Amino acid sequence: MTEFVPTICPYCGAGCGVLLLVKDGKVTTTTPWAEHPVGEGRLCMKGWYAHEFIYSPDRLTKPLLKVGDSFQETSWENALKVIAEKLSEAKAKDGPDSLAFLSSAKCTNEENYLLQKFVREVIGTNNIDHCARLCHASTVTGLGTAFGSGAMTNDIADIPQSDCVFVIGSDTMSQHPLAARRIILAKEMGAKLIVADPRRVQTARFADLHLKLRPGTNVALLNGIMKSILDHGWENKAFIEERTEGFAELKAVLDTVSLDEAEKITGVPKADIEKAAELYATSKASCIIYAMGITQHTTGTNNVLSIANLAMLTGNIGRPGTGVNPLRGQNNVQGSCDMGALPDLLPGYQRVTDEAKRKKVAEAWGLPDLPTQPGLTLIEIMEAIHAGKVKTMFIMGENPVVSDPDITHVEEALNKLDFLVVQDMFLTETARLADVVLPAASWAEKEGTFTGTGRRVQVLRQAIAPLGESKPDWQIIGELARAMNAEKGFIFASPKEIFEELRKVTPQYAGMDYARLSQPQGLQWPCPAEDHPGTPILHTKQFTRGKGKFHAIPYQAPAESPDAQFPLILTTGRVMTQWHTRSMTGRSPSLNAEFPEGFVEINPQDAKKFKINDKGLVEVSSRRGKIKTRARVTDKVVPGVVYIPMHYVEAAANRLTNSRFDPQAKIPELKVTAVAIKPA
Amino acid sequence: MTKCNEIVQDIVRSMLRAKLVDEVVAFGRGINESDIVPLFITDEKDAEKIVTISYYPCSLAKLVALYGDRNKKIGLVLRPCDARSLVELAKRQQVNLANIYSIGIECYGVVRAGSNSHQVYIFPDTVQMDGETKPLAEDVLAPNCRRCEYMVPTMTDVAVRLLPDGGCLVDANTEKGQAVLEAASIAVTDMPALDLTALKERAARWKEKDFGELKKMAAKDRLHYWLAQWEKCIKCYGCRNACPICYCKECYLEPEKQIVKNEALPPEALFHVGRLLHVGDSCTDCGQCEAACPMGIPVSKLYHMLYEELSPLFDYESGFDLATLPPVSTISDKDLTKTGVTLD
Repeated sequence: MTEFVPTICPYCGAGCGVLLLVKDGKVTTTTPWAEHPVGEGRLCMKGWYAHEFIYSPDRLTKPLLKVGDSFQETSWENALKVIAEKLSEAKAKDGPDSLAFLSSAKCTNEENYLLQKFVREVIGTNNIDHCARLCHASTVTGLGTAFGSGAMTNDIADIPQSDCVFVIGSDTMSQHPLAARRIILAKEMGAKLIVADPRRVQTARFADLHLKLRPGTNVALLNGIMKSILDHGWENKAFIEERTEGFAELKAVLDTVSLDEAEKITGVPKADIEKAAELYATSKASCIIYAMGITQHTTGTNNVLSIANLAMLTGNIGRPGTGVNPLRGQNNVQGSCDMGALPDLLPGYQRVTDEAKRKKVAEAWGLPDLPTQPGLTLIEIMEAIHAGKVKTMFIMGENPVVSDPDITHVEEALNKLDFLVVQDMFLTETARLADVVLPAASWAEKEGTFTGTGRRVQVLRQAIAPLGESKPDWQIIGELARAMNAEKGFIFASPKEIFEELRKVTPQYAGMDYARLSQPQGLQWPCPAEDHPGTPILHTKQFTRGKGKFHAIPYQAPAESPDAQFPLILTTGRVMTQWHTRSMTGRSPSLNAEFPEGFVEINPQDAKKFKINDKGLVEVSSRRGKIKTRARVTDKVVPGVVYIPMHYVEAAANRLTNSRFDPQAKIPELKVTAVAIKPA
Repeated sequence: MTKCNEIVQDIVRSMLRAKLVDEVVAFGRGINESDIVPLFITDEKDAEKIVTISYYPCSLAKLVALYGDRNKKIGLVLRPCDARSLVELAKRQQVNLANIYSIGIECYGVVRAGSNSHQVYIFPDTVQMDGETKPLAEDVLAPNCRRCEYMVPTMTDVAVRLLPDGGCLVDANTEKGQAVLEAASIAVTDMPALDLTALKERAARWKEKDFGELKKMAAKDRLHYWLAQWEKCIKCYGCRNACPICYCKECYLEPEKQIVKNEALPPEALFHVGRLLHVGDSCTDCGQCEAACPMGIPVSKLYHMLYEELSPLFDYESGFDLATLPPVSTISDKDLTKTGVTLD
């Protein structure tokens, strides 16, 4: 028997539809899904080869128990018994807040929903977070504060309607290729393209204007642009008047901004700042597309607020071709946030501190109340382990030993734990440190929903049976909950049943069900009622919070600045065919071969200064550690900046990075680290 | 267009019932009416899912070559360009034509990729969209279809011909085709002569439009045009993966071959030039490469343009005669002295 199973790509947040060819129960290949509205019958390379890791010989097929220094296979029954005992013991001995959980932006909505429910109901803590903390935590806080909704305002399919596309801090052609497709379409239909990035990313080749700003100077650049807009009277006075508040405060800060100063801070010529202001402010419909270059800073929330300021200042929001468009990284990072896999937010972004909302969720779960204190974020969890406050940890599908900042510190923390459970497809660097490892099924082996970057909720379809004894994460959580005697709220025959429950407590999802979501286009939230068509564009008539709120944001320097000892700025990112910690792409031969090893990009001027040869082995060091990798001498990066992709454990950029974080979003400053470089 | 659908479904049911074939590969309904996906049908009950909508999201010939069972008898419902690709694949030993029963559907073009959220059936000068018939606006058509002059499936075992009134006629081109029609109890109809003058004129007009401007350019400007297009390439391999003529099991484009440098965007021009040299002589202008390109590179324009230059030079028409091998494999010393095609 041979059939094509329509489903969703497991890599980026674009959420392209794919067809998996299943022949006699085996996935044979991936092809584009023509009718799907994001991919439109096209895929990037990761999409075309998304099936390759499924049958990797490294797949875990049985639960593993650490005995001494090595792992032994065990039965599910025994593994769950050990975990249930240890978790119950820890809860009884040191209290629920001595346990911490990491959920996963790679897992489905149903799985994230179920894990946060387990953590809040069965364990009784809000200590649940996940890698959204490392990518768009500042989007959630920033856009939530400014607009009332921390998500992409428009949709990928909407970009071609724009007359000016402003891309800031996003290597879109490498990282969200099917969004880049729309940027190129817009450009070919006459739109202007501005790219702000310290590197000549692929998208910048097509830019009318490339603003090569120094890492960490986004606010200075955006304030400069807004200052220039006000100087020329290009602001949208009617929009400011009718739809926003707080403009006077913003103006007071902008009055203190000088473009000469902005040029000095950012390294972007004043004339280019003014040109960007003109292009963005005077086009009929301008949109902003951004990613980690904006969010991964100690000023991440402020960067996002400044972007919101710029959009509101010119009225570029709520219409086709406009908007503030964070490109979410993971396939389901939008959904994992929507589902409340966050320490301060319940499903649907309802604050744990909001008694009425919290009690409503508790009531739906048949409980009197839920934990009231916000839990710990990702970085705080690691700190709390070092401080002896968190002693037990459960990690579903994440690999913090490679993905988090300052991984030496992370490894020490995880090694210090009394008990660690990791649930994954592979024995990752993190799983190796675990006491129990549970084998999880892959994306092709389970059903559920993923929410893409345009708030598009869509159905992931099961193509094959789970390999070996591996199980979908939702089943594992359900079984664990039952092993801990939490029968009632955790008996689900299918993800569909979980969805029926989660839509009752997630207002944005209230009108969705599997029948509606099963259409190729899915549904875009908010979809509050069963007859509601979904919402392609947010804030059309009014902002989610009523009026849009301007914020007065003065420029602040990053946590680390170059000095005599560490004279260069390291900025990190990704390459086209690798994904995060390579647990999947490193096991996909076609993808891995395109970018098989790590490197550091350095400008020829700096290379000369530090006696670095192209392709030569170098040592890069920071206050936290050092790595060896190969140099690439290239003018792709500006002088004073070096770039290392985050993926390669052998030359891990996160050995160097700083865990200092944004005070509101608690997102670490992965984009600015002071480093030194020398030949190795 | 229910008539053509009905007849094709009948033929498929009959082929399966008579055990002429073990499996039929055709396009059919997926999740909804406009979701068109390849189906592998073994149970005649599923034949009702087959649709003959004017949309053709991938090469079925290539699917069969890659994933079909060579020992099985397979029925294939194809449009003429894909039927030509099937012949080219057979020349390259990628399919066993003896085991394939091909049903060709007359085709006046398919809609552009990504614009298929409708029920669209295209006729010589009209288009039926969601049940409503209108004069055909040529911008509905995929770019390669506008240049096409092979509407009639003369290279398949069975040819299903469309009539202007929505009806259709069925013809057998081969003995296998006759066996199929016998199994389906369909009488072979004498085909009325088809006047393709207007459609050939359309093809010539679009070739002139698509190629003319490029041909007028100075060689270096033309090169610049293509280099600028290739700048957009994100090396997704979509064109290669979608191309029915790209059949190599070991592809020199793969990074480990180190012929095209890895770790670079855009890939070197060799990525495109090399593929062009490999398959350009046999391009059937099916347009799958262009439809698969996320960046809107007009890939089929380049391949078709080269094919159109090579075809008269080598007196080679791809996709018709199984016995005539592609120029790349038959090239002689004398051929090497031929002039007239410039690749720059």
